[in-house]
Amino acid sequence: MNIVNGNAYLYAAYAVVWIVHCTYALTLVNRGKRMKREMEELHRQ
Amino acid sequence: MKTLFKLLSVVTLLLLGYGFCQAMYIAPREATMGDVQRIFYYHLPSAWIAFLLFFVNFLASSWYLFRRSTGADALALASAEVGVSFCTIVLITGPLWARPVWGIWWTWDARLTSTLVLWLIYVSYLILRHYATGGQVPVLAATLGIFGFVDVPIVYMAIRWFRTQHPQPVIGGGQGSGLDHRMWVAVLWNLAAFLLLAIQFVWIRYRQALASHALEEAHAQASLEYETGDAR
Amino acid sequence: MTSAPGLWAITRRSLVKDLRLEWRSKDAINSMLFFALLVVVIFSFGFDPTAEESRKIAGGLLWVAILFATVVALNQTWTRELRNQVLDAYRLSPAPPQALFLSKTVGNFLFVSILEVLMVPLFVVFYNLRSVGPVWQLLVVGLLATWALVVNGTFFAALSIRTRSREIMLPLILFPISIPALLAMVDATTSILTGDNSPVFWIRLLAVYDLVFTSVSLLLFETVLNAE
Repeated sequence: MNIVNGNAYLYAAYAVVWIVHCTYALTLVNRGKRMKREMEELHRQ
Repeated sequence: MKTLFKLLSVVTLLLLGYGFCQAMYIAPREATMGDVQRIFYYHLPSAWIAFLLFFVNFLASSWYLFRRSTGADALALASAEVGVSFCTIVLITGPLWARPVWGIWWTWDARLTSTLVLWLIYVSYLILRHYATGGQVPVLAATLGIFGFVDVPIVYMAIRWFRTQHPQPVIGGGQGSGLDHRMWVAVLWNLAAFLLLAIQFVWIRYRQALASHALEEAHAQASLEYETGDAR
Repeated sequence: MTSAPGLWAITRRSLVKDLRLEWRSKDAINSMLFFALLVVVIFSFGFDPTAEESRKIAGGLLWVAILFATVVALNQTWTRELRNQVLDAYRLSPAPPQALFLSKTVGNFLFVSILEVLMVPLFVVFYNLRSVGPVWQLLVVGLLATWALVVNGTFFAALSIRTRSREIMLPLILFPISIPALLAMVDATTSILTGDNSPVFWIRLLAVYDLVFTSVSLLLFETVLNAE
């Protein structure tokens, strides 16, 4: 088994983990912002 | 509460950083597989956390059917979402590990296959939540959540028997394939770190689900007042 | 206690009513029969195996074909009730909801069994199938497997009534949960056909699956019926 190749998969796997978690965190942030805007609009009415 | 949460975030990030060091540098290199095996330190904790979160979903769904509490429904949604994201990680890191070590992406390995079925069940749960209409979505989702979790032991038994009949390489080593003590340490640090991350995600999503519910009620209330000419 | 009719009496009456309505209209049964036939033919075009291979894969093909035909049958389980607001009347009546569920499930079981009676001989013909193991075992597997598909299918059909894109929602939530049962029915059938392995574990698994999900469905159906 090629050691160099193996490491590429290792980095890819770790990258995937971070990408998934960051993406999820981003969706949380976006939803939070959207809801804040909605609440402010509602208060104004 | 907010400062506590911010403090927790800092702790989480520190733990994640240390977990990374443990996984990448401190834990010893595995004899046969080499550095690729380090995927294990992210793969295994994610699997445990996903399973824990789905169990939380089961409890929350049951509680919801029992007490119809909005909080239980919010927790069910949050735990399912975060659980699916962790489960996705397990399903991607597994093949990424299998490919360089065994030359194939997928081996119908018992644990990975069970995880796939679990992922399918809870993704279908999330889709039902998204596409069902009407005020009774939480009830319908809760019943599906219960069905899904009840299925889990049966899935596990079925796939394990299927594997003994058609044996193939096991991803992640067999039971007790001699894990070095230092490797366990790395696993535990990463487990702690990702568990804390999961708790924070679930907490935020839970609050958002509650807020969304309150917003819906506020909208309904506002349109009611508008129609009765009662805008205040 | 008044002389209110029991669970079985109501179930039977409900079932007989459904069967009579189906027989009079014949719409569902006819289209399903033709659909089942089409599925078998198309699969036969797609997979053209030798006799030895066919024994190995026929189990899988047969049950996947039956699964698709079952979904088509299940999708119309509750449409008549919805159309005529029968569900509201049922909610108000003192009749136990389990009776409604059981009658629908048994009705679906009978429908799917009729489909299987059509599809299995066709498969045998197209694939020149001959079983190494005893045929009665195949019957047991057939009964348990059909009930497994139909009990969850009827329940999830009720769940998916109040969803957008109802027709795709049913298979979407049914298939993942049915995977262990599917694995069991396919492997049991293959084991019996090829005689390579013992089907006993799979038959037991199907029995456990049927027991567990029939109980859970009966327990939770009232909740779903009352959800509005």
